[in-house]
Order: sequence, then structure tokens, then C-alpha cells
Amino acid sequence: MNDIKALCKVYLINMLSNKFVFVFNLLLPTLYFLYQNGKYWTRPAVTFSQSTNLIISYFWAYIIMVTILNNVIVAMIAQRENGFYKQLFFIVGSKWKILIANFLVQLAVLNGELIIFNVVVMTIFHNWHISLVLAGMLSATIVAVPVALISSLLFLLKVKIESINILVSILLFGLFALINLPESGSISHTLSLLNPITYTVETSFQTLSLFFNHTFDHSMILIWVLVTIIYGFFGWFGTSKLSVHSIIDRA
Amino acid sequence: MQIKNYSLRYVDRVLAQNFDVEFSNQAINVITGANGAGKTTLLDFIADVGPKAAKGDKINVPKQAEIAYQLQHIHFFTTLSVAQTITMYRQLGDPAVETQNPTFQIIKAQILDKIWHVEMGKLSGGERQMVLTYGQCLLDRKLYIFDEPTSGVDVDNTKIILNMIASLVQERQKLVIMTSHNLEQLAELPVNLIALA
Repeated sequence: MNDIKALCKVYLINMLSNKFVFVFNLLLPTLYFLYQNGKYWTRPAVTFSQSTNLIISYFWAYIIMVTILNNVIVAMIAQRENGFYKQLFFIVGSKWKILIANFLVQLAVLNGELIIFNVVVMTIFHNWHISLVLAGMLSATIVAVPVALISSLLFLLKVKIESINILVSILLFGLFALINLPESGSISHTLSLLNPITYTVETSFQTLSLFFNHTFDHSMILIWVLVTIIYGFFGWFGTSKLSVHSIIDRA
Repeated sequence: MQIKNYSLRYVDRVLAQNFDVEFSNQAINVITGANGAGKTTLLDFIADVGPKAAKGDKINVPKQAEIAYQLQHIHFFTTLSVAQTITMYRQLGDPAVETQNPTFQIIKAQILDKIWHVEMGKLSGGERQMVLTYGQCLLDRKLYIFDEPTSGVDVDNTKIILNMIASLVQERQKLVIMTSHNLEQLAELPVNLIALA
């Protein structure tokens, strides 16, 4: 536990030295939210309905997905490629301690980002509700592990670090494009949840509904658990293939 | 600790063929050889991160979690200060090494304290090697591996680095393996030379 604590400090210091990531993770979605919803600033208070919950869920999904992809997965790939991961591996003696420390720091960062975003939302909607902050943190905590696990499949890609950011941008564009595919029946619903953006939107939406409307779609629990297990399996496979050697060295 | 029948073949060349080596725990085991002789690959093989092409029998080689391995030319997290880097090593290692070992107390007081708040990225290559070697020595492992720890380091700093590495063997009875091109630097130290053809 002390090892993970020591590593968390290292990752936190290192991450705070690169504040530009917050532009992509937080500033861009916040500005887009303001652009779309700025009109409510001059209007009476907006209540948190199913439609506002859905809008908020999409923004949360973007923040969660981009933060995990950029700050956890791509960061780990970059560390592998420049040799930091190999060096760190032999200092700490465990792959899992490194992954867990990096993940915990980014989970804290993610929660911080969501709190800031939610404060902006509440300011624009003139509706201050601690439930929004709590729902955001709960959603992030629930989905962060499965999303990080499925995203770890990127460890398998034999792509140079110079290309990985472009690839991640294309991947995000593709995943967002796929979220509005029509669904019919539980099989297509299950398949749609294999898209981590849909998975995050759905989980966030259900959490918001539970907090604000005291409603919850019980029928989706089984599907959600099934998809989470699939994410876990892919994550186990992806992380097991994380080697200390860079892709370039292995090519 | 021994390696037997070590072989390393690539499609176009053979770097090692049935190479046997026994490592001493009474001296620093220094692997020498020309560039491209496969020194780092042998270290990787010992640390269990070698290429699939490397084959051989390992006898009494500690488990991966019991190995500290300092790589060549890794600058670590450049935004961390020396203090933050050493604090991390202290938390991961054995703090008693510093408090009970005069070599480390002198190095800390005379060298590290002067650069204590400087970021790793702003240090010279030699200073970085010194900080990282100091940190590696704080870890408590059975086997310590250093890949070219004095490469690009000036004469004074080389002596300090080699003294720290030697203290692992002489004062803590640890098994140490390092690679080096410069054997003159090792003249005053207890070494077990291992030549890779």
C-alpha cells in the first residue's frame, strides 16, 4: 500500500506539470456546453429532468472517456515507449502497482474535472443540487474501472507513440458516431453497451435518474453486469499483454 | 547465481552460443564486450524481460520482484525534483540504508543537498545517473543490475557512483551485476569480469 501511495505522489506531480491535458479533457466540453446551453443563463431555474439528465450524461461520458484514454492508457503507452515504464517496473517490482497508482491519480483528477463541470452546469441552470456532484462522482467511480479495462486493448496496438494520439482521436470520433445507432431488443442493447461511450452514458443516465427522479431501469442491470464482465475479460487480456518493451524495440 | 547454455540468435547473427557464467556475491560482476555484443540483452534475460530469442538455464536467479534494474539513459520523470525522486525511493526502499551507511550520508550532504530542489530534467546526465544510482541503492532487493551506470559521467561522479555500487556488495552483501566499457574506472574495486565475445 505504501508503494502505491509513493507512486501516486509521483504520478500526481508529473501530471500537474502538464496542465494542457485539461484543455482537451475539461475546457473543450465545458465551452461546448456553455455554447449549447448558455441561453439558460438569462432564464429561470432549469429543473433536472430526463432530458437534461441525458445531456449531462453525454458530457460526463466525454470527460470520463477522454480522461481515461489520454491520462491512463495513452500515458502508459508513452511511458512504455520511452522506457519509463520499464524503469519504474524494476523500481516498484509490480506491473499492477504502477497501473493502480496511475489509475487512482487519474480517478481523482476525473472526479475533480466532473465537479468543476457540474458547478458550471448548476450555475447555468440556476439549480444548485449536491446530488449532481454526488451522481457525477458515483458514475465516474462505477465506470472508470471497466472503461479503463476495455481501453487497455490499446496496449496491443503496434503503433508508434507519434501516431497514438491521432488514433485515439479517430477512435473517439468513431465511438461517438456509433452511440446513436438504432437499437431493437436486448441483444442490440447489449451490443451497443460494448461501446464504452454508450456504456458510460447509460450508467451516468441511470445514476442521474436515481438521484433526481428516483427511477431506475432494473431490466438493464443484468445486461450491464454481463457487459462489465466482458470489459473485465478484455481488460485482463489487454493488461496481460502490457510488456516493458517498446513496440519499436519489438518490431 | 549462474546462467548456463545462454544462447542468443537472431536471423542474421549469433550473439551468444552455449555461454556459461557464474556470478560472484563477493565482488561487482562486470559484463564487458563490444557495442552490439548483447550485454543489455543478457541483463534483460537475467531480469526476465529478455527477448524470446534469448535462451538459457537460470540457476538461483532471484525472482523479478527481487531485482532492482537501472537502465541506461533513462531520465525518469523529468518534472520531479531530486527531493521528490529520492523521497519516492525512500518510501519504496529501506530508509535505514541512508541512516546507517556513512557513504550515503556523505554523498547526500556533499552532493545531493546542493541539487535537492532541482528538477531531474534540469540536471546534467552525470548528476541524473548519480541521483538514480543513489535511489536504486536505497531499494532492498537481492539482485542489483546497472546498465552502463557511468556512461557519459565525469571522473569525479564516476567514483561516487562506483562507490555506491560497491557498497552494495561490501557493506550489504548484495549480488550486483553491471555493464561497462571502461575497465580502468574499476581498477580499485573488487570486480568479477565477465567478457561477452
